[in-house]
Amino acid sequence: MTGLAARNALAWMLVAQVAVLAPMLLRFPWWISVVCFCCGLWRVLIYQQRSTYPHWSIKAIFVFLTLAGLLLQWKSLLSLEPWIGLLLLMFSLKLLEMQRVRDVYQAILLGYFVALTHFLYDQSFLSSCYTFACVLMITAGLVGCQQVRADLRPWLPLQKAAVLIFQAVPLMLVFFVLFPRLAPLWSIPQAGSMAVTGISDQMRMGSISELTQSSKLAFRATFADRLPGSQSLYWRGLVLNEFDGETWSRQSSSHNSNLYRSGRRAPQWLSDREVISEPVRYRILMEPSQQKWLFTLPMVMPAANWKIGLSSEQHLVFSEPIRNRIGFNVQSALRYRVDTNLSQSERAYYLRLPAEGNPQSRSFARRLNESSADKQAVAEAVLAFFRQEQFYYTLRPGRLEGETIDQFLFASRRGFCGHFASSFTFLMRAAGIPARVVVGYQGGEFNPVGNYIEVRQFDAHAWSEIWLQGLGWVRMDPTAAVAPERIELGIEAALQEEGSFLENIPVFWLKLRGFAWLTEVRFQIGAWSHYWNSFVVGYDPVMQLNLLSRFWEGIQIQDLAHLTLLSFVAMMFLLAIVLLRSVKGRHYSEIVLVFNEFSALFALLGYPRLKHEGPLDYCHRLALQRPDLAEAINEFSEHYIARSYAGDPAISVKALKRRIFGLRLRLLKPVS
Amino acid sequence: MDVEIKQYLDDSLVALNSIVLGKPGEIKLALTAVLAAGHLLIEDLPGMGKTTLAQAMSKVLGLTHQRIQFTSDVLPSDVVGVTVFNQHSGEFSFHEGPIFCNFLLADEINRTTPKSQSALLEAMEEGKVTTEGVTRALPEPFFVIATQNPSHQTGTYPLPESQLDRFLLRIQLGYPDSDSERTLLKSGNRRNMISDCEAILDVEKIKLLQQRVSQIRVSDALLDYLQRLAEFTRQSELLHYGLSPRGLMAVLSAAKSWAYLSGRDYVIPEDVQAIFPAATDHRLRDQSGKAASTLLSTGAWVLTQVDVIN
Repeated sequence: MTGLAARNALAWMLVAQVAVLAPMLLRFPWWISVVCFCCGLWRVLIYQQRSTYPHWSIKAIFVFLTLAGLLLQWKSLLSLEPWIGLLLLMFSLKLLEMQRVRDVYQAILLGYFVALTHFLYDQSFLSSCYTFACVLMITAGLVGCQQVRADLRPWLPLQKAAVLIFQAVPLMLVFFVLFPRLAPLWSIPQAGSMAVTGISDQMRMGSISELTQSSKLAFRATFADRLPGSQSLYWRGLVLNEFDGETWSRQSSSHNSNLYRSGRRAPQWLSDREVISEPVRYRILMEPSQQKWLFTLPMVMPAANWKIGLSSEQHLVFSEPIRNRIGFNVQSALRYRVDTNLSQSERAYYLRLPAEGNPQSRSFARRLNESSADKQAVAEAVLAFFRQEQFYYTLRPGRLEGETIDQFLFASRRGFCGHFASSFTFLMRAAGIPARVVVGYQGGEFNPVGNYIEVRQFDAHAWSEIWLQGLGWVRMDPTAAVAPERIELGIEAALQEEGSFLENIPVFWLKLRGFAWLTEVRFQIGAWSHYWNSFVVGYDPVMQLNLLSRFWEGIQIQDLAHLTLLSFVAMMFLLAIVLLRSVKGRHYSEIVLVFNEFSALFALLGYPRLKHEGPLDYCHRLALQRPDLAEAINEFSEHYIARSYAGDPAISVKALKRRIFGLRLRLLKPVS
Repeated sequence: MDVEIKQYLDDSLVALNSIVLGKPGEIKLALTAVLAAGHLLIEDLPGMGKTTLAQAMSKVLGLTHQRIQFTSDVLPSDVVGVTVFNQHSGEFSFHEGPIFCNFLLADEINRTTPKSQSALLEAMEEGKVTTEGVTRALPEPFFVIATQNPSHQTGTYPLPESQLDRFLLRIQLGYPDSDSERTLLKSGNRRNMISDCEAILDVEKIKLLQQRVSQIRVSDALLDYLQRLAEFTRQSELLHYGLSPRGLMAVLSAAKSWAYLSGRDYVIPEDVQAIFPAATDHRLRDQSGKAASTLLSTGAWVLTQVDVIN
């Protein structure tokens, strides 16, 4: 009969293993899952004594095959994935040699490592909670191994593990807050960048509507003081200038490389900016987009961070593609005047159109231009055209081919922000007004719990800017002319009638906005994620020094190291005091402790004492199950009984302890 | 330990085992009761060898023995004796009943009326009989083996708990295993074997053995275990009532005599466990049948619930 303690430990080990491996296996090839599952199954069969431990040669074959599989799968070992795969596989294979206590400890240690690898892929709040639960279960496995007492309720290890982890929280906090944060000395690239939905640097008519089917978070913005009205929440991403008849794209010329960074010499265009209203201050915490540009409200001030450059088209560009979540503080003047002087070449540049195509639109623009001398009136007339004619704001515009602008303006008249911005800019340029397309996000949802604005991919938007004499670049949003509710109430309201908002996602909690409490829960989770991202994941060296210099003026990294060490020592000291005090409270007699130590040793070998088993019966059973140790066991039991029940004073507790030690030594020797 | 006297004990065990086949544990328990100076109740169906065991024991132990077959019309005077007028001497004289002996076999005790039962049981407890104002001591040692049919059989007066408490141990014999039964079928009548059997022990030896048993050592660790057991029976919600101090003392003295029978001069937990069900099953009552649902007797279930060490 295999002991209940062993069952508890194994059960928790398996539960923890499944929990730890599950998210990883979803990210790895299927065959790794198969191997892991088979190993788990085999271990359960061994436990039920329906199978035996594999021979070492079989284990060697397994190791060889999995290594070969990893090499075939990834071809090279220069990225992180094959190594994590190796960890996962070895963690599963370890199950097949969990014979001795040492093996169990190794498996548990590996489990902690695998749990840590979750963070290589996902550091979000919910995922961290999950990883925490995994750690709890692994610890329960560890506690299960140590269970000696015969009280073997299966939940007991979990409770104990929870208490253990709870006790470790102070130490964790100290290390989190104080431990010096250094940049990694090396990093292994992760093969294959993950597909990221987000705004790209090309816009075809209708390309944005794909984005609007995604509810992924783009960024969160926290405003220092008041919140701007929803009409001003135009998060500029980048400016598209080149039009080839179908697609608007970013220019690759020198214009864009002309970045201004704080501390550098100010370029000439920087002086042609006029701030009219007091700038608003806000902080943006942006999710990885794999692109370089950042999203800010116009007109953005140059950022203090030297990694963030300001382009001549008034948007911020990061020094490298954003692979990790970044946070930055910015200021924007919501009322402004920019580029009031446009050079001849720039003017020509912003008027460029393909040599031919869309003749109907061109003549329409020309007619408008001739009817009025005022450029602004021309723009207004186009907006009025959008408003008065039968244009529909819809996510299902239907496909346009060939002369797309003509088709849209005079035939289909069903479109999305991309259609409107594209055709509006085309008309402007055709009418001789310098114009450009701006893509970014519009609006966002205010989270009252976390006091921030949450912008998701479906808030993606495109609009136009036209240049007017004396006013500089002015924002024109033709979508607002057609569907004002898009700007005022958000995209969901604008599409309510059509019902196409997030229609491809079958059950999505954003759709459940009707329930007030659900909204509340959503806001709460969002706020927690935000705090998590800003203060836990985003706790970088700068933030650390900022925080600590509040208490200690001019603190340095070296001081941090000392402080960490000092707090660690202090905590261990406190712990030692607590432990020393609590020893007094134990009511076990010395001799009972000796026997408990003895049975703990054999419990680890898989032969725990049953609660109702007397010392003689237990030792008889042990001697039967471990004939190799029978002599030593019988001697111990004889002496123990003589001491404990016959009251033989010749036998000392120390002598009994020596016997246990001798047994331990014999067990440590490898089985030949 | 006195080797010689122990040898007699072992011989008696062998002799008993040759008559009652395949029941070494029960026979050892029966002797345990004798050595602990307690009474034994054998509960089983008719024909399981209760009487055979009792008769064989009386023979082997070498004690004067009597037998009372209880029926519903047995009167207390049939048990303890009666005072009659002797016309020759012109005096009243007391005719001792069957109870005046060393070894009394009270067969089918639950078939008689409570009045007769109590006459026997009081004598068992006190070790003396009082009739018409005169108290007469019973011989030493005085040992009763009572047999009873399971109380759900017809024509029985179940013994009340207070009376059951007077028995140190209650055992059940149960069916023999097939080998023993085959031997039994081949070797024929037990009655002849019993009458052929020679006495191995006698009153003096038994008194000496009882004295030896009372000298068996009991450590604090063992008393801790006993008290944990008692505490559990008192705390458990599944039991009607816990073990009384008298019950606990019964457990201890039975454990001591079991330890002696096992050749030790100190008690270990295994001794307690060996006699615990026999010593407590008739003293505890399972409240809800929950303990019984484990297929263990109440006493055996209690054992599984209490940690031996610590």
